[in-house]
Amino acid sequence: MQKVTLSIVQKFRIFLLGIVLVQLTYSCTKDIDIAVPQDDEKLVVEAYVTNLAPNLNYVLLSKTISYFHPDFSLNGVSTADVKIKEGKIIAPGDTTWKSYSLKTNALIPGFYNNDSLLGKVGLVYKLEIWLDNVYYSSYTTLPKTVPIDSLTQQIVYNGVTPRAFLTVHFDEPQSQGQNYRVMYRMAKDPFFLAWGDVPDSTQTFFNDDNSNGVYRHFTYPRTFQIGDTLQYYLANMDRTTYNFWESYQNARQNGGPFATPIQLRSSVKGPRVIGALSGYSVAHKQIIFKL
Amino acid sequence: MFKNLILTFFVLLFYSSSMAQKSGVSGYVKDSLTGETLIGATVAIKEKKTGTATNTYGFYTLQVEKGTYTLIISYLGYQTRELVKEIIGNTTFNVSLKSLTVDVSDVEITAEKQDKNVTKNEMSKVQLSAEKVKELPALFGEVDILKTITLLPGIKSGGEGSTGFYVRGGGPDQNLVLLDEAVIYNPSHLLGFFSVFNADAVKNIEVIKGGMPAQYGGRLSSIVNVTMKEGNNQKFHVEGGIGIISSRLMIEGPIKKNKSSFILTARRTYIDVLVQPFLKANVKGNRYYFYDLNFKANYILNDKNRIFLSSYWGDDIFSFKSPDLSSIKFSTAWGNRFAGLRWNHVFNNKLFLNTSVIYNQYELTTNASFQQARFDLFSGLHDWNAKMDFNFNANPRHKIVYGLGYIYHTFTPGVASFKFNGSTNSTTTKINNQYAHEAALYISDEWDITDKLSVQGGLRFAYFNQVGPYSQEIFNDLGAPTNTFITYKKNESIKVYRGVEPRLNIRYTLSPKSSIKLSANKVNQFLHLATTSGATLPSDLWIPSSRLVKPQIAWQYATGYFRNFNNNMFETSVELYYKEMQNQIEFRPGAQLFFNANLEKEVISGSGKSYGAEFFIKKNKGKLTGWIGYTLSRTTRTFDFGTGPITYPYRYDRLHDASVVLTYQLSKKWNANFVFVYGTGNAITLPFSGIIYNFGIDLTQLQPTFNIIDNYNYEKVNSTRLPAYHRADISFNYKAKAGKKFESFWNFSVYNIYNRANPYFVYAETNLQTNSVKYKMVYLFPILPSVTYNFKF
Repeated sequence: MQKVTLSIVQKFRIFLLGIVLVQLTYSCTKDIDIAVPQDDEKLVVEAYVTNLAPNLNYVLLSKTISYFHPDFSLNGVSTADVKIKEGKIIAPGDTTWKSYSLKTNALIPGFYNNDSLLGKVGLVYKLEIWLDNVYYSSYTTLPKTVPIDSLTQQIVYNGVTPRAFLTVHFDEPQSQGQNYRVMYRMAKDPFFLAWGDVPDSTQTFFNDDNSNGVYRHFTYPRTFQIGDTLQYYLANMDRTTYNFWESYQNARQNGGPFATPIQLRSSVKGPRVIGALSGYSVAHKQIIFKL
Repeated sequence: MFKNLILTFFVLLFYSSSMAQKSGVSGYVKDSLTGETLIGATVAIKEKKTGTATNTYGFYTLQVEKGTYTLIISYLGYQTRELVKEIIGNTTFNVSLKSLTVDVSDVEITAEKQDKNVTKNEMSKVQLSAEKVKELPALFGEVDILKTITLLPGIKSGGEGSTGFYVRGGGPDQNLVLLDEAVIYNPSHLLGFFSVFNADAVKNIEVIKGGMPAQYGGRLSSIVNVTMKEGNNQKFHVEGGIGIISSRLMIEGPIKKNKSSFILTARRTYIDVLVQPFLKANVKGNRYYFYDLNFKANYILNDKNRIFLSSYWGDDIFSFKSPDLSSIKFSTAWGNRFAGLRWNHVFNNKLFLNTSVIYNQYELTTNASFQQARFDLFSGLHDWNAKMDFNFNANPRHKIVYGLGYIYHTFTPGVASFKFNGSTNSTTTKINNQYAHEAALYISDEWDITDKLSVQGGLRFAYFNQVGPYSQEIFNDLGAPTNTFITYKKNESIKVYRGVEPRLNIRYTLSPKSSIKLSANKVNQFLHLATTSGATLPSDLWIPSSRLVKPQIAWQYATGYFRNFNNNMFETSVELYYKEMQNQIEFRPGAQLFFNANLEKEVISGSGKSYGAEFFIKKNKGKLTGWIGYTLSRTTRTFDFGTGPITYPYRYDRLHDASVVLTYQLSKKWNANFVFVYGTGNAITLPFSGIIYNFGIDLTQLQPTFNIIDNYNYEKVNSTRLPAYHRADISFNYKAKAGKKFESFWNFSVYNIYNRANPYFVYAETNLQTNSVKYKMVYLFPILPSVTYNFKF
């Protein structure tokens, strides 16, 4: 008797489950036609100055693309005159400038760089672009580098396989106004810091607005393979750069039913332009995960 | 000024309580079987052609000269009673009405006999019974009060999978949702798919969308006043239901027969339990469910005093445990709770008082742990609320209501703590709490100037004071903290707002079956919901008016023509409204709202406007009952997003919005229900172009891969329309053969019978191979059958 009752209960449960699963997994997509007004073209400026390596300092110019005429090869702009000026503030209102001209790269349309440009902590950088007699500019500063105190590991076992959690330790300075981008990569992977790297689980942005001067321990909610070598980067940036990246990160993560229109907080001045000159003061450390 | 108002209030209280009436009748109208008081029941004196309706507590009072009169007591779904009563001095007369039983030979559902919609001063007000709501088709068979009210004209649904509603162009935070007078700040479960109201616990739903009476305030657009049942004070009774995704149980009964009773209801979803054995290993650690509990008890001390204790406790709980590593855990829970104590006191047959003390809260907690690290996050809102509401029938031509209310708000925007096992202390970061006093005094007089002309004029004095302790950090133009603070001591005033809110309703009776009405009112709203999404999220924060954020203000004007036909078989009305809203709140596009100490700087203020015409026809009697509603309206907002002020259609601007709700009594055992809704598509902002970005410069490859990010044009907000929303549902209710003690009925529902794909959201999909972009629409619910088994004994 008990067996029969159980069987009925199980059948009922499977029946209910079936209905629920069918219903919940039934959400579908279909193509629709929506009339969207056309927008004017804008210049897009992606530019970097870091203290890490000259080949990470570059400017990439492109144009926005219309939803009606999509062409996904980079709509690169290679005809601009691009300079980055390095400024040292002698006194308020008195800055000495050193100018770097950036040259185009034949392989990547819209790509400009100068191998001798390496960012220096404490200096101001100004991006200047002349394109079709129109002038665009943007400023950034390289704030002081915040050193990484240590990288530590905690071994856990997934079954019999050992894995390692990573914790980053650093002393957040007492002076308020630090804005961070943290990145890590495995030694075998190339170094990316461009717009395309966000959002990514290896990248995080935060600031010290609510936690100034606190010794930080930052554990990642994932594990790493024993034997791997990990490079860790802690970049400090000014607020203007941070505001752009925060808005950019929100824009990249935007989607789904809770999506809202996002306005990028561009730092480039000029007509019909979007983008930023990002200055990063980067501290670096390495860890090899061991048993 | 406020002191003078309070003085005037107490003078009025003294005057009214000392006015012992020589002749009058008052009492409660109740259900004969359960002892439940009936809200809005009509008590009329036949010889005088005058009448009144019971208040929220089922109490009525009528003033007449000494004599013998015929009292007619009626209520929707109940047998009308005519009773001859000699009224000498103060007469207390409690009346019981019998619930209508269905006669085999003539199946008919009747409504109240009075032309209530025609003869009452108030307009733009609707009452629904929970029993009616239970019969209508429902998604997954889950009866949903908030979805049902969107079937009324002027109230628009947030769309598929949303309990959010939008009244006459107002936003989702402009509706005051009350459960037994307690504010429910987040009235939804499962991110808006279901509402927090368990229909088994609900007695009555009152929706006020305009012509707001003076006793209500604090929200610009509407009041949804849900009243819980009191519990059967005659005998024990159990009721329940088994549905596809949840089950529910209600127990009620007398604590002391005829004196006191209680009701306890519970509901829980069980998808998590059912699905768990069948989940794949990688998602087995996910769990989600919601539950709610309602409890209410009351005690009749004597004819003049009665006390109530009500409470609600509900949570949504989501948790995750890594199937690979038990040290990775995450859980989040959010929910509303309240407890309220109320005292009803009858001074005399002219004066009735309700006094309430209520505590309510909404909280969100999140915990995460990864090996040695632990993270806890908390945010919430707590209120202490006290109020007194008087009903004073000065004479047969004047019905005065007055009262006062006070709320102490505590806002906790966010507290986060981090703990690392290797360190000695945990680190706690906190967005400073905010505190505010909100108070109101009101008075309103419903004055029957002549038999045809009646005016309900009222004034509400609203007061809001944000107070310390509070330490407000100053942020620079880039949004960075400057390390300078403005500090306020405990109870030190930070910013005071006062508002005088006139309320006016005029009714002129053209004939016994028709009237015209006018209303004008002003409302201040001191709390604002920080949200950028069209959906309700558990992390949405309520923020107070402050130095930087001004109170929202609305003026609404409405006029209507009301006409009944065929001995009240048909009720019809046309209402025109115009609403202007100031200090409307939006947030900078892309603003980070949660855990932001500088949230006030993210606010953009603007204005709004809404106008429209609402047409309503309702059939109250016969085998076929129901209504058809249609709204023709426009709603706009004017804001400056950095490109100058622009006026654009509000997200829920719908030129056309229609609903059809029909019930047909097929037989003694079967009834059929049909619902159809149609609405012009929502206005949305879509990107007009894309920004190309690269994946970094891989110097080993020199082969960048490109993608795009959406680019919006803020001069053209909400300039795109989604496809129209329409859907039809049906349900059949079968009442199984009832035993002496056991009754059951089945609800068979089919949601979306013609399988309409209604938009949930839209996104653009870029195809890098074909260099093309397509818009994709995600829709949730195709045709969905469901069955619910309900029982009671």
